[in-house]
Amino acid sequence: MSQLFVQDKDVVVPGESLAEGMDYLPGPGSYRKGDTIVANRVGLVSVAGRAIKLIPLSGPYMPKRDDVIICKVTDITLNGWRLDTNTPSSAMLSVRDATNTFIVKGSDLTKILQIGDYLVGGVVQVTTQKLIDVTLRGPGLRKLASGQLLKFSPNKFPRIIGRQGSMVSMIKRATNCQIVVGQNGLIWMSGEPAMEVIAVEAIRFIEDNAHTSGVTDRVKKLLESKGLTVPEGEAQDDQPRIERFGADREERGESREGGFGGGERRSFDGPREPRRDFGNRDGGDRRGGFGGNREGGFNRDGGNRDGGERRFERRDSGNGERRFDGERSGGFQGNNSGNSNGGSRFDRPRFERRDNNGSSNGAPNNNNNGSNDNNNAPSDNNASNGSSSDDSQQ
Amino acid sequence: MTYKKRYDGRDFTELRPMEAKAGVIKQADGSGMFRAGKTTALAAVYGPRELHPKFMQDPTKGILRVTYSMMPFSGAGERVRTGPSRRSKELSMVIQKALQPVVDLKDFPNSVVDVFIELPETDAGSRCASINAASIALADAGITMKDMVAAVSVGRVDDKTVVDLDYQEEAHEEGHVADIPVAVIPSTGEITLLQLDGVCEPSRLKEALAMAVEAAKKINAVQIAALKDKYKKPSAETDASSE
Repeated sequence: MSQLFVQDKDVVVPGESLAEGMDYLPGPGSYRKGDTIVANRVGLVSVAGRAIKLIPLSGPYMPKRDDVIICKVTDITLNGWRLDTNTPSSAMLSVRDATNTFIVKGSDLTKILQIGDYLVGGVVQVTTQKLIDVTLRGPGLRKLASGQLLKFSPNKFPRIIGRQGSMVSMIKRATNCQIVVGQNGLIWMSGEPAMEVIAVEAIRFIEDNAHTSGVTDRVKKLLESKGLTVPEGEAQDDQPRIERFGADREERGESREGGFGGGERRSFDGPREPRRDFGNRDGGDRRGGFGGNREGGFNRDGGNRDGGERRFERRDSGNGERRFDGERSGGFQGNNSGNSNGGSRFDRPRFERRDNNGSSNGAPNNNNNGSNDNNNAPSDNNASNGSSSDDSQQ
Repeated sequence: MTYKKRYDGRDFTELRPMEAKAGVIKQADGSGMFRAGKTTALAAVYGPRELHPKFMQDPTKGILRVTYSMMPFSGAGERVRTGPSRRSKELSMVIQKALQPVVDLKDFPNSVVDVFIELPETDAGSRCASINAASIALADAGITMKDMVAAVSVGRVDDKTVVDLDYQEEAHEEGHVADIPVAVIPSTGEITLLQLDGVCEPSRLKEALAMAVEAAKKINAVQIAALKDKYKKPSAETDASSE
């Protein structure tokens, strides 16, 4: 007969028995020892049906794809920059992922990022050896200007962000500070010094009380007690993020456990990226291919897509057919049957767009772009597999 | 010669008064304090973090590195010189071997979890207090552990089998003494550290080990309480502060 020994929200320690019997399943933070389910770390119990899992109250940051992290440049290599991510893992930002403009091979990389610079980057992939590939291509991903850096315990991230970004938005609006919360346990903020102090206090308060309930209201009271008004209204989830096109929604949902307060990546302030679709486009029909669940973003009809600010370059060079249907879903490799280009371009992160008419290159460079892509293909593969980062670590 | 009464008046199987706390060193990733009688151990855990020197890196899992150190005036005798001694290096190694079986570091290849143990005051049983404090600190740091480790020194003073020897008993000169530090995984009774210093009959050793496993459960209860205390909601205080 199965029996549960603990309740939801109980604090448990390693070795503590959580349940007995085969009816219960061990989720993250617990394991089965014979008939019993035992905790393997300090955490809060969370019972979901038959699965018992632990919400960690402490512990290191485990990097995952699509996470947004704050990093510091520690070295410059042949292909890019080595980053310190406040974790034991080493991270690489390759030149390709750093900027939308075309970088000549051998050019001075310090012009883009210098040693000691901080940046907000997105995790592209994490290897089995926990090496991280970082990108700066995505809304809000950028080098960070002056400001203040704060360390916090990475498992408090969901609490600090709040549901749909509500908690951090509340602090941002009340103190009028820019705040970027990295999932790796670093927060960057910039605002008036007096306001920054209050924001820091609010964040520390959330950290200390993350395991209790009613934190949002108590933070609101804390801000109001400092004489600030918390504006009402819907919180805007404007955390920086990685762009992914046609990514598998389920896959993304799973990989985003604990991040972004579970909200869907939907709200856009209008089209961020003008679509330049060359090749087989059927006008509006293919819209579904680009992360079809996304509303309000890429609602562009067929025809000239010149409108709006060009934020990203699209260098869709002539390697094989352009496929914009659902085949792209499910990640980098393997889904693109019929693409005879050896999988090079589609091995890479989806959020990159490269146009034939790259704004900085102009029309005559079409062919050059194409050939450059071809030439770069092998090294691109290396970069995204992380093997070049291994080499450069020697 | 018989050992009629213990120097501090305890029962032969009675442990010294214990105290434990978690999270005592704020800047560490995890920390713990464990005191048995006058022996106090403070443990700080840093990690997982990048491991230097590189030749020590293990690409399949993280490693556990323990540094044990007694503070200069911690003991009753002469001032202990600072810096690692052969004794402290040996103790660092046995403590690491006592904790290794419960810790799971395969998610952190090429990394290290550093455990620093300092003893501000010692009265025998320092390696046991160290293991107890380190267990608390590792759990506090969020390291994946299948269970904690509890340690106590049992042994023989003259004709009696005793639990939790203090310095006076270890230095007992009127008869044979055996000091047996034991570290136990409480849920299974498995032993992760067993040393013997002195002279002891085999039958008494078995008896002592059984006592050690019993005592470990009591020690584990103190460790668990220390960890849970850290997260106790001071509900009255909270209401007051949010006014």
